[in-house]
Amino acid sequence: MESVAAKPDDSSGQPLNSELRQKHFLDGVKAMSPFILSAIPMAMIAGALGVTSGLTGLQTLLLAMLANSGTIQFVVYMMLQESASWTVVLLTVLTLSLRMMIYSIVLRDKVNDISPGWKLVMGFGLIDALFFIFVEKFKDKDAPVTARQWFYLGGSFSIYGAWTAATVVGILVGSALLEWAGSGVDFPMTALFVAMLASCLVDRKAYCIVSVAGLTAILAHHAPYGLGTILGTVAGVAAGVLYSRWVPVKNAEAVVEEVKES
Amino acid sequence: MDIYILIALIAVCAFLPRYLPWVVWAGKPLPPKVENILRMTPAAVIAALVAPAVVFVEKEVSLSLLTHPYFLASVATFALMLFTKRLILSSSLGVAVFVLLKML
Repeated sequence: MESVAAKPDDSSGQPLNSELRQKHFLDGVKAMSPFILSAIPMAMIAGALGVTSGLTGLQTLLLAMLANSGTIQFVVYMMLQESASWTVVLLTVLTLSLRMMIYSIVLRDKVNDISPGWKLVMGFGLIDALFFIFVEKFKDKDAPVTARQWFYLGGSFSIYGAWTAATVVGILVGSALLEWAGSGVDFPMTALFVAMLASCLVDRKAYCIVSVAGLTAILAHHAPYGLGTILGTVAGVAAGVLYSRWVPVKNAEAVVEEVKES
Repeated sequence: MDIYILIALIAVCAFLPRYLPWVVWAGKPLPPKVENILRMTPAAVIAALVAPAVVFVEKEVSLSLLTHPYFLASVATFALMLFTKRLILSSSLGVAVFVLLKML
């Protein structure tokens, strides 16, 4: 088994690979499972809000399934109620998708050797949670194509299926759900992201990036179309660049000193 | 009918930004400087997503935030994760804290 896993590419479709694929797929499902649990109540709300904001059940479901983004769903409902023009709606969707574009650029090197057909599916399935579990899983090692693509598929497919099913429930239950749910249904998802934030804090540079990004996003909170997130990200990365420009010089000097002493 | 066309266009606008970076200039490796920036991006994005979500539980930030279950449970989750380094444990305990505070 190990020799198979160590090959850089084993997508030739030999029977032995099916077990391996299944394993990677299930790894993806497993890594995604806490996010799936947290997403279910949110998707139900998204379904219910769709039908109460004037869309039909079918339209609500199609929007959920085709956009594959909770944020876009909620924003589109709001804009349709305000009877915004198509141009405004589409520009907003594009702006909201800037974050996804950042994810996509970051993942570029990890998907470079994956086939075009797979890239289509994987691009469609890219969401916040998937980006973070994927980066976490494959951050330092070179994994074979099979591992990367099936892990990705397992993660994105499982939450996509759960989100779709929960949206249908929300559509069927409708406004009653909104009265029952109250505030705080999104807390489980927030808690997962808060915990992931804490896990990013591995060194001083990370503290610097996170503090600047967080503060900037808070200050820019009132910027339209969710641009505050983008501004925060850019500021955080800029802070990281400045940090590594200043601090490594010190480190290098320290190393030189050590070498001299020894 | 119109609304279906709009939904299709939304789908295109949601898909292309995710997909295009993988096919445009796909053959070329990124310069090390860019790679260095990309490595810092995930932490920055999470912070930029989470910080406002936790601070702006109400429309405006005020002292009452310090007694808000959403805020307090987030702080608890954060501390638990720093301490235990276990994602599922920290976030589930955080949710438990949230539920308890809401019942108070």
